[in-house]
Amino acid sequence: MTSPEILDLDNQLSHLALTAQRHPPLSQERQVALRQLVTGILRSRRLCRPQLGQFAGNYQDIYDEALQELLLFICQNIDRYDPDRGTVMAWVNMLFDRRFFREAIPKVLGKQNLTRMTLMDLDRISAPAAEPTLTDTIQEFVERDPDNHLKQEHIKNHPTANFQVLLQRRLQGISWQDIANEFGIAIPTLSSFYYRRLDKFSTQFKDYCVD
Amino acid sequence: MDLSMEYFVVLLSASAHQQAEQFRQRHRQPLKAQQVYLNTLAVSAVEFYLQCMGLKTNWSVSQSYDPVWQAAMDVADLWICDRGRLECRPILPEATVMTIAPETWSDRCGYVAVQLEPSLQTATILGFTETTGVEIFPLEKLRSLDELLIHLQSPPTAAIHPVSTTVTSQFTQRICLSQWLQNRVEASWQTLETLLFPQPGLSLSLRTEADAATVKRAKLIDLSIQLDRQTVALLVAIVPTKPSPASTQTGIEILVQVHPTGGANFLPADLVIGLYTETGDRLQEVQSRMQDNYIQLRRFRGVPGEHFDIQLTWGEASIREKFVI
Repeated sequence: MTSPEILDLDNQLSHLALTAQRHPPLSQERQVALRQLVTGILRSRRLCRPQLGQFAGNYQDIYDEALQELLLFICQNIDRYDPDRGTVMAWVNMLFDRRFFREAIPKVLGKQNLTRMTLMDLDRISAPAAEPTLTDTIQEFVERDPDNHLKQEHIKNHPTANFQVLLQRRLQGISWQDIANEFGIAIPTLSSFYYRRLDKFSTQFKDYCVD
Repeated sequence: MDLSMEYFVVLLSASAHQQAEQFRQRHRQPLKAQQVYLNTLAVSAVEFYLQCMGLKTNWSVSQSYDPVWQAAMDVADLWICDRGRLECRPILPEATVMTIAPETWSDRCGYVAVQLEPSLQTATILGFTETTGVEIFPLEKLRSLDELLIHLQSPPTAAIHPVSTTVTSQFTQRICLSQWLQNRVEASWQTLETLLFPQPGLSLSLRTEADAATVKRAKLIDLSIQLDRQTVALLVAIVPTKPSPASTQTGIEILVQVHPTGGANFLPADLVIGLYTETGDRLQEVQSRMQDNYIQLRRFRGVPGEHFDIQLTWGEASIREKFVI
């Protein structure tokens, strides 16, 4: 026997799917319906678990990867849902089992050294790799400033507040407030100057770092 | 089941973590490496959400994808096709505010809050703000995800409002003054040199000492009534104001003037300039007399996100220019 809650959810999801179908892509009605549909599917507790018991420690990664792709597919292909052929959950689980889980297996198993950090891992972790990182290369370039281009760019009437100095401070992690205090210049003036100059030099930096 | 909640939960899949780890490895400082990891997860969550909603995004051309920008800025932008950069700010589990790095105050069409949880298995997209120029934004003041989609699907320079004026009615876009400070100025707003100089008696200075940060722009306004052509220049000068001890909020001081153009020495008489709130309340008004060289509003101040309108009226002709700070 089907419980009233399940019937209720089926009706609700079906209503959302049909609402989305009735409105054109990018319309607000369709977007709201799709958002609620995805939330409803995730909270339904009725998603199947294909090939449970296999893939040991990789199962959850495969499952999440597949679910992500599945939800995106549903949003982009909601017009393919046919209420005459079954409930939304039946359609979703069929796609999950027969297509998206299978496709996710090689995707996840094929990844080298898959690491999933938690916030605590990130707090604990120290500096990566002993070899020079990209930041080191940028830092070195900023220090050398081979053609003095970085030094020459400075905030109007403040020759000491030049782009090289600002980059050095920011790469060391010094706050905008401290830099503002040091030079007696307001943060928006400093940060917008910094942004524009970074925009100007970013290609040059990249070329240097890649070579 | 109540599905009407205003947020959206995204799974942070193995692919998202792998991308984050790959970017993290490029940076030595632990804090920077952590920042890059979390920023990457936030961008991937927003990218997924917007793709579900049918919007076109391009992460690989975003600054957050580029190691140089990652190193030099606290950056988490996502390029939204036909719209611009949307900044995706990661929010730590217990946080009640969104932090926005000053180096990302320019060139952004909004800031989306993406709340993370300790295991980093899911991210919740909470809402967004267009407010720029603040480092800390309270989560309770975020605008909804529905509004975000509307905002991202509207034309780049804010909404276009029809103006109900008499003879000269026209459509105008709200001009964003904060963007002027980043040197992003609409083509119709020209430098004073281009539009007016040399012009005697022109003094558009907000402070007695020259201030490097002042931006001055002018726009030609055509107040034609049938055969009687009359053109004037609307001048706007802005300068960022320093944050006060009480607030980190930076604002802008604004001076508005109207000058004659085309070699004329005087403005037409009875030309009225008015300052209005977004809702149409008049804050101040000045009217030209016979032989006025120029007229100006009392200088005023505002903070990013505030709207105001300037209306020029001459006889039956009336033109309204809309601004957002």
